[in-house]
Amino acid sequence: MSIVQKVKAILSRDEITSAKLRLQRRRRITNFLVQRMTLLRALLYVAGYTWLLLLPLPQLGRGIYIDENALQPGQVNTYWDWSNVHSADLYLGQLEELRDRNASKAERADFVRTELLKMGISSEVQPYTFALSTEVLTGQNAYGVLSAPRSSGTEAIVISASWISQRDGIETLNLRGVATILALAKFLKGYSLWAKDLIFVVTDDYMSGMHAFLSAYHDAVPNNLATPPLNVTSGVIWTALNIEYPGHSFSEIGIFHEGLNARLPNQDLINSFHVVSAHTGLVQVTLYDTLYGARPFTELRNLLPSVLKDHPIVDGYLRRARNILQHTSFQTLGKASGPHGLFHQYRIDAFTLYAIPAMGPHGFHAIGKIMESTLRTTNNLLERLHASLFFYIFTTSGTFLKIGAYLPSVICISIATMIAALQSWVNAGWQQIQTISVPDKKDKEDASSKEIVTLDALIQWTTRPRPVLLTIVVMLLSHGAMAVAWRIMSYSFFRQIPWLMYGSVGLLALSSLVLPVLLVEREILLSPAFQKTLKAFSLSLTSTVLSITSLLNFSLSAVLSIAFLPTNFPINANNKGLRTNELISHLVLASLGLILIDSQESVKDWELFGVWFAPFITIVYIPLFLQAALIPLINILYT
Amino acid sequence: MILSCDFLAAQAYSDRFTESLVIRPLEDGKVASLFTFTTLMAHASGRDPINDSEDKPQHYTIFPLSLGQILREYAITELHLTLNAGKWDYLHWGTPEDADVGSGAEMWAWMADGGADSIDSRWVGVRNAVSGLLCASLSSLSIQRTTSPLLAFPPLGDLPVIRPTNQTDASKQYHLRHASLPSEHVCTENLTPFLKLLPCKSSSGLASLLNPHKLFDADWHGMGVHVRWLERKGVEVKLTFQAVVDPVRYSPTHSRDASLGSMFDRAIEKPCPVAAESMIQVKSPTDAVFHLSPDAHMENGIAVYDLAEAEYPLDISLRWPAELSFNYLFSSVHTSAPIRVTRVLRDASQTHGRLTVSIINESNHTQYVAYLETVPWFIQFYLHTLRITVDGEPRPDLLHRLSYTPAIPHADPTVFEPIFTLPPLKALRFTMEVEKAFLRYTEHPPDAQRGWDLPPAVVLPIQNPDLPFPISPYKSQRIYTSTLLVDLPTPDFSMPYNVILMTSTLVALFFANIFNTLTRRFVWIQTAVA
Repeated sequence: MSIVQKVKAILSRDEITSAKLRLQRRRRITNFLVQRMTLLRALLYVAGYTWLLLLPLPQLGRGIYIDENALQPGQVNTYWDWSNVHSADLYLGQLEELRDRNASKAERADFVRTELLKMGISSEVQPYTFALSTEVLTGQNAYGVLSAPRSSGTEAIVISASWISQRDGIETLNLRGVATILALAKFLKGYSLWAKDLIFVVTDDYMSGMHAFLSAYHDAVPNNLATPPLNVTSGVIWTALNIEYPGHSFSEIGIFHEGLNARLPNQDLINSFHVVSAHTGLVQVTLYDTLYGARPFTELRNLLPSVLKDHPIVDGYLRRARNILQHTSFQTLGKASGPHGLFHQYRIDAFTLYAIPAMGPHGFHAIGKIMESTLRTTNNLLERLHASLFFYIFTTSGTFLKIGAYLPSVICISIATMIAALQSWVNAGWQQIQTISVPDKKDKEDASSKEIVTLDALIQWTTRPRPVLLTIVVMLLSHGAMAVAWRIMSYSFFRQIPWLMYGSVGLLALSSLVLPVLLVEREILLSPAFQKTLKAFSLSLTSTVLSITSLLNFSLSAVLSIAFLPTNFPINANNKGLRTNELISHLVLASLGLILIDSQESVKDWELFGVWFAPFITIVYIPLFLQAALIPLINILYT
Repeated sequence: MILSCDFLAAQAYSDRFTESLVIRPLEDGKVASLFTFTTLMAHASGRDPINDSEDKPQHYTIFPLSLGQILREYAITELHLTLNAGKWDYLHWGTPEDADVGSGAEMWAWMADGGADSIDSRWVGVRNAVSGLLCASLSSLSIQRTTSPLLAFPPLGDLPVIRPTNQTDASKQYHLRHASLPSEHVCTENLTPFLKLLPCKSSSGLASLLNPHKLFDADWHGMGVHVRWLERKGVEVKLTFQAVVDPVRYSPTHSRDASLGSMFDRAIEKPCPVAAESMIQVKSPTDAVFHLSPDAHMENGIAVYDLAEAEYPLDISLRWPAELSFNYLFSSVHTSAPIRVTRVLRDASQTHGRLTVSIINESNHTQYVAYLETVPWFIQFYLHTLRITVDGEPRPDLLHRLSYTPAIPHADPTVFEPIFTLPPLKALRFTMEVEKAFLRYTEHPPDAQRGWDLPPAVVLPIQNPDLPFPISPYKSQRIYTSTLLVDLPTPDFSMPYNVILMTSTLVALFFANIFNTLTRRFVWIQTAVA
C-alpha cells in the first residue's frame, strides 16, 4: 500500500472506527505502562537513592557567583588600621576585667551601653524574661543605633555578637566578638558614607537574647516573653552579620548560615562575603568549624584500600559529603546554626562569621577589614536581595548545589511512593480472576460487583467495594491520638515527669493500633480491600509529605525518604517471619522519632522559637508508621 | 492696563534682598546652620486667576525671573517646596530653625479658585514647572500622593481678596494642594539651580559659603523655597538652606571646635552688594568655657555679626578651649524639643502590619496636637482597631476630634487627622492595624523588592482644639516623623521564578492525564446497537 492510499484510508475512516482505534491505542499504551509499573517503581527508587548518594560529586555542583550587580564585593579601599586594632584590644581588656570579677548580666550590658553612648551612638539596655514550661531564661541585651548621615533611616544593617559562643555543645565567652563590635562601632561612626542605619547588638546568652531583641524590634513579642518596647529604633533591617570570635586568634573564617525551620539567607550575601574575605582580608573561608583542608571520616578512610584512601576524588567526595551531612543535621531538626538563624523569619538575610580558634595568623586586623568591606557591600543595596537564590546546598565554601541538582532525588522517591499508592488503590477495588469459566450466580447477583468482560476474554476483572470511610477513620484515629500526645508533651506538668509523659504517649500510640482491631470485624480487617485501601491512603499521604517537605526543608525530606522506605514494600499476608520483621521495624522507626525529639530538645525549640520539627514528627511522621504497622499486626493476630 | 503697567514699574525699584545665617551648636557636638535669603517684591501681588490675563508685561530686578514666571502662569498665591536629606533628630538637635524638615521632597501650594483652569490642572502645571526649575523629580508627585489636609499646612502669609467676590470670607476662595515624595534623593544637581535664584549667586555674601563638597557631606541638609504674599508688603520669596554638620567627625582629635572654614571649607571674602541687610547670628550656649572669635555684638545672648561692618575675610570660629575631645556623655548644651514623635510600621506579614505612634510630651503642662497621616492608597487603615494608651492604660478620651478621608484604590491617598490631648510628661501611644493592598503587576516600581516609602507624618501643636475647621489659624511649628518603608506583597520578578511558574503549570496540565492512566481501566462496554 502506498503512502497516499494509507493517508486516504485514514481520512476516510468514520467516527466510530477512529474512536475504536484511538481507544485501542490508548489501551495498548496503558497496558504497556501498567505491566511495567513495578519495574518503573524500582527504577525510580534506585534513581532517587543513587542520586542522594551522588550529591557530593563535583559534577553535580558548580562554583559560586554574584548575581546581584549592586553588591560589588571587595571593590572598596578599607580604612580599618592598627589604631582600630588597638582600640579593640583596649575594649577586650575591659571585657576581660568584667569576666574576671564575674560581673552580672546587668553590669556587662550597661558597660556596652555606656561605651556606645560615649561614641555618640543612641543606645539602650533591653532586659527580657522567657517563661518556658521547664525553665525561666533571663538576660540583658545592649544595643545602639548609629543613624546614617543624610539617610531617612528607613533601612538598617545589624552587626551583632552574642555574649556566649556555642559550638559542639561547648560554651565559651565571645569576648573578642563583642570587642570587635565595639571597636567597629567607634570606627564606622567616623564615616559619612553609610546609606543605611547601623544597629550594633550585643545579646545575652547564645540564642535567647537575639530572639528577645528581634521579637521586640518587630513588635512580635510572644506570650512567654516579657520585655519592654524598644525606645531606640530604626527602619527595616535588610541584612545582618553575626560575629563569633571565641579564641585569641583564628586561622580561617567559617560560615554558619542555617536558620530556624530550614530557612536560608540569600546566597548572594554569603558569596559576596566569600569574595571580600578572599580578596580584601586574605583569609580562607570555610564551611562550619572545620578547616578547609581538613580530612574528615578518618575511620572510614582507614577501611579503604590504600590506593583509594588518599585518592583526590575520594578525598573530595568525603569532604563534600561531610559538609552536606553537617547541613542536613541542622536542617532536619529545624535548628538554627547560630543566632543569625533567628533573622530569617523576618525576611532578613543573615549569617554567622565564625573565627575558627587557632594559634594564628589572623586577629582583629583581618576581621575588622573584612567586616568593613562586607558592610560597604551590603550598604550598596538599593533593594532587598531576591532573585530566588534561597535554595542551595553548599558543598564547600566555594561550590554549591543548585535546587535542580538536588531536588529530583527526593521527588523520584516521592513519585515511586505515589505509584505504589495508586497501584494499591487500583488493586483494592479491582480483582483479577484468571479463569475462563463463567462467574457463579451469587457474584452476578451482587449489586456491588459488576462483571466486565475484557476484550481478551481470558482475564476477567471484578470490582469490589473499597471501605474508604473506615480507612479514613482509622487514619484519623492515629493522627488524632498523636495530636493528643503532642498536647501532653507540651504541658509543663508532664514534661517534669518524663516516665509519665512517655508512658502516656506510648499508651496513646498503642490505643490507636488496638482500637481498630477490637472494634472492627475480623473479616473486614482481614479483607484485602481494607488493607490495600489503608496502604494506598497511607502511602499517598507519605508521598505528598515527601514532595511538600522537599521544598520547605530538603534535608528533612531526604531523611524521611530513607526512613519511609520499609513502608513501601507490598503487604505480606502469609510469610510470618517477614510480617513480624515489618511490625517491629515500623514500631522501631516510629519510636526513633520520639527519641530524636527527646535527645535534641525539640519541644523546647518549639516553645521558644516555633520550630515545627517536634509537632511534625508527632502528628505526621509517627502516625504514618502506626498505620503501616497496623496491617502486619492484624495479619499476625488473626492468622 | 496703563495703571497696572505703572504699578509694575513703580515696584521694580523697590525690590529688597536680605540674607541671614543662624548658627547653633547642638547637644551631640554637631552644629546646625540656617541660611535664609529673602527677596521682597514690594506692593506686588500674585495673579488673580479670574481677572488678570497671563500675558501682562512683567519686570523683575532682584526677584528671580524664572520663579516669578511660574507663579504668574499658574496664579499661585503661596508656594512651599522643601528638599531634605536625612532624618531630623528632635531628641538631640531640638526644634529646627526652619520647621519644614520632612525627609525627601515636600511641596504645597495655596491657590485661588476660579478662572479657566481648574485648581488641579494648575497644581499639575506648577509641579512640573518647579520640578524643571530645581531638577527634582517632583513630577512623580502624582494624584496618588496629593492631598488637602485641613490643619497642618495653614497659609503662612495673607490671602488677597479676589474681586468680584460673592463670598465674604477670603479664605474659602483658596484651596490647598499638598504632596510629598519621601524617596527623593537631594544632591548637588538641586543646589546649582537653587543658587541661580540668588542675586549674587554663590560668588559673594553668605551664599559663598554654600560649598557643595562640604554641604553634601553633612549629617543633615535641606533646601526650601517659600513664596507668600503679605498684605502691606508684597510678594516675598524666602530661599532657605539648612545643614547640620559634625565637627567631631572632621576633627582628628574628636573635638567639637568649629569655624566657617572647617564647616564650609570657605571664609566670606566680600559682602553681596545688593543685600540690604546681611547678618550672621550665633546662638551661643550659656557656657563660660565657650569662646567665640572674632568678637561680636551681643543681643539677648545671641552673637550678631553685620556683614556690612565686618572685616574680611570673615571666618567665625566657635571653640571650647577646656575640652581636648568632645565627651558625648557630659554635653553642656541641652536642646531637646518639647514634643517628640516616633512612628513605626512593623510587618507581621506581607499583607498585614501594625502602625505604632508614640507622641511624647516633654513639657509639664497639657498640650494639644493635631496629627496628620497621609499614606498612599495601598496602605489601608483599619480605623476600628485604633487603640490609644498612656503607660499601657487605654485612654480613648484623649482623642479630641478625628477627621478621616478613606483612600480610593489606585487613586487618592488616605488622610487621617486626629486631634489629641497630651497629658504632661507622658507618652501617648496609639496603634492601628493596616492592610497592604495587592498591586497590579504593572504598578510595581522597577526596584520592586525595595518596598514603598511612606511620607512622614506631621504633628502640629495647637492652642485651642475647639476652633472650627476648615482652614486653621494655627501657625505653630510642625514636627515631622521619620519616613517609613513597607513591604507589599511582591512577586519575585526574576527569571528562576518564571521558570518555576512555567514548570508548575506544565506539571499541572499533565497531572490529570497521568492520574487517569494510573487509576482507570479502559475497557469495551457493550451497549445496545441502535
